[in-house]
Amino acid sequence: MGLFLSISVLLLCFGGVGALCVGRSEALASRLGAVSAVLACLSALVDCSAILSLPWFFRLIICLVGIASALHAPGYLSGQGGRRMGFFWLFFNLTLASMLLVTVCEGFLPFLVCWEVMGLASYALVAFEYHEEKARQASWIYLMSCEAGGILLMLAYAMEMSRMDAPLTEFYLLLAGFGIKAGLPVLHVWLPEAHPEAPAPVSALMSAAMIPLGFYGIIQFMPYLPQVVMHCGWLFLLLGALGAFGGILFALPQNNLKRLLAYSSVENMGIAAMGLGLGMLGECYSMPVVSVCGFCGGLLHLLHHALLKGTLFLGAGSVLKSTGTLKIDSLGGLMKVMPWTGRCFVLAATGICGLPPFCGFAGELLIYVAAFSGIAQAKGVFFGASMLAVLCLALTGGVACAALAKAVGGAFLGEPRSDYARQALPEKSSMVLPQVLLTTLALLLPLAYGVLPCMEWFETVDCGDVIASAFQKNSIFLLVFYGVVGAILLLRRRAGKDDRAVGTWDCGYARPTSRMEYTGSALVQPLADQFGGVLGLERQKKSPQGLFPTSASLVVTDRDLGRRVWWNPLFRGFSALSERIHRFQSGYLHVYMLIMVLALALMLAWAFFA
Amino acid sequence: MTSFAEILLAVLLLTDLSLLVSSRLLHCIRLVALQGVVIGVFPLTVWNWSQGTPSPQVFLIAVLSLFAKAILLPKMLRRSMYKAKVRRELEPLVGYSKSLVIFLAVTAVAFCFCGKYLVLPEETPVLCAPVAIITIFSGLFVIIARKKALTQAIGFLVFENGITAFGMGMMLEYGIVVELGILLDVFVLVFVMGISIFNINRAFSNIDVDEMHLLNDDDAHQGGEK
Repeated sequence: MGLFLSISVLLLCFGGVGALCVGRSEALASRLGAVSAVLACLSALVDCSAILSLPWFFRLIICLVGIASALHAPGYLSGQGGRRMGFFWLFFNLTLASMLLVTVCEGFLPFLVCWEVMGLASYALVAFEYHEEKARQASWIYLMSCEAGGILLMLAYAMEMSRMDAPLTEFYLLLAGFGIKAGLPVLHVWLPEAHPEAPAPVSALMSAAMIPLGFYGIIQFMPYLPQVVMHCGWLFLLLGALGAFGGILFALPQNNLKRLLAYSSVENMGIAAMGLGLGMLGECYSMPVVSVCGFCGGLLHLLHHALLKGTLFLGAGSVLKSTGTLKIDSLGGLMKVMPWTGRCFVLAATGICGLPPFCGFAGELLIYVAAFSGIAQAKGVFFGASMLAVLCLALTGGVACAALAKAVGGAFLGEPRSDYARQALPEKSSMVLPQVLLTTLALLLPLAYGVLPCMEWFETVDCGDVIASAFQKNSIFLLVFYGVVGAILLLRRRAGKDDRAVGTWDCGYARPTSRMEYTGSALVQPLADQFGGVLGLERQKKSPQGLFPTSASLVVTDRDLGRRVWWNPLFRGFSALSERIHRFQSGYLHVYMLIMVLALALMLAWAFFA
Repeated sequence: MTSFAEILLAVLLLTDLSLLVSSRLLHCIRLVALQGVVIGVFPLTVWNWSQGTPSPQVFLIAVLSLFAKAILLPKMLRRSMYKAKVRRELEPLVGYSKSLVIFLAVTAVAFCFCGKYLVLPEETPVLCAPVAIITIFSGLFVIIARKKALTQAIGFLVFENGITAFGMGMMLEYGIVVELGILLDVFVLVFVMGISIFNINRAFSNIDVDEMHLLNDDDAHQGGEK
């Protein structure tokens, strides 16, 4: 572990404990916590002992998001009181420190310890609003999934240690254990529950930086045998496709802004998994182009997702702080009250849909290249897989646009739909700063890809020049685009037309009210018609009747498919089983003794006769 | 001296039998004290005196066993019995006649088993292994099948006696160290039980361990409401 990393972890520890110790003074506690966290992240960023390695890459993600979250938190949490602030910073810093340590540990056992600390500390953060029933429930689900993952990882470790020669089983255990954290489909159950309830900086940190650590774990610790890599590639590709498309389909009907973003995280993790899966398959079928592009695409997508989803979650937090609600149907028109938050949110949403010039596009482009070259070169099953990847990426991109359009449109555009939105407080500059920071990075990053020297690395494979030129064209296009937009903005400012107070564009209606706007449910109605059966969407529609209809309404609600089909029955089964076992916990000492004696006698008999 | 050891083991067996079928606690405590005497003398009788005097460790364990098991622990048990004001073990979970049948069955099984499968060193008394096993079983049986906390403490003592008899009879190499460890454990256990029995008695107005099931998770709420 490098000097700067050690300094960073120490800073985090001292900052957290210090914030807890200062007690009553809220300003002091939050300042201490935030400053220590930001300094620690900067110090870890400076550490370039293993630059361009996999752990370094994940540390980069953690540090960038960590800085933004730490800057956002004091504003978001203001008014909580010094003691609660102290607790928050203690656990926040602990989470950050353990995340950094996770990327440092080389052995599996220390890694597991840090991993568990990370899960437990972040559990405390999710449960920060513990006086609310929903937050308690969400944090409970989070804790359960964390520990379930932890147990699977421990089993994998036990298998490794006992030298059982079953690399496939071990890999499946690792995949399930890390997959829970990474939000792979079916295992993603905690994401849509924990993210909406956690404080916004925490959901930003968890969604942007902690979830990718699941992938880090799998890549770092899976046994590298050809057979296992093959399995891993196929599973990643299929699960990724399922997660990407399914996640974004579920994001669409969500009414809670942060829940929508959480499902979008499932989608993006799916895309990254598809990239990594293609990379592994390319390695197995010895197709270097597919392999390099797949891996780089998956990893880049993780970085982009971190920047963009960080911005989005922080923006959602600002919205909650200023209006008091996250329901998209109760928001609207916030662009006027919180212009900078709105701008960042729109830009980040555009990026996360993977629209061409922006940040999220670059990663997806590489995955597309991988998939297309797979189609061009491969035959048989791999051809089909590449087709599936391309189709899924395209479909996902389309639905993602719809989902994010719903989020942006519902929250920031149009007229305020309720008193929450009408009485929204103006944004705080301290909360805007981290969002602007992340958005700026996200805007500049694709420019840098065109000039980065590490692009030469691609030229070791025969398609390197194709990728490099694609990136260069993208950055040239971006430069022109930014130039034009900047020029227009400058001209407008010169012309002094910036400060006009006008009504929202009304499509020709004389006096638009919020009742004429599309609601969230209305936006997803076509989707609910088509996929309702699969998704388990429930539509409650009241059609207008008669010549002068008095009222009509449409409500679309969803229930998570993975939870409904898989987790609820599983947990019900577990609980039935525990009920049955519970009979043994009679409370009678005699019965306990009897059970123990019987068990001992059986073990003795077994040892004696076997 | 082997024949004397056999006699002692027979006494141990008989006390086990008597313990299982007697309901008077005072009688049980006396039986345990008697067992303590037997166990205390036992290592000296197993020793092959023709080889010379035994090592000081054997004397130490004999004296310690005699002191703790025959005098100290029974005394403490008796004191807590008087404090808790219980005389008899009424309504045991397994009746006395049934206990007798089970005891006889276990005795038969233990003798058959030891005769067939257990290969012992030459110099150990023939009765040693089966009687030790039966004593261990009796202790566990008393713990499981009787209700009073006091009887359970007695059960632990008997259980310990069984282990000692086994270890001493085999003349195990580390027997004495292990023995001292277990002795300490049982001593602490009886000590704690003696104190807690009194306190439980004060809090619950009886020392039926049976009633303590009200304290488990499930019924905690109901107990609170009552």
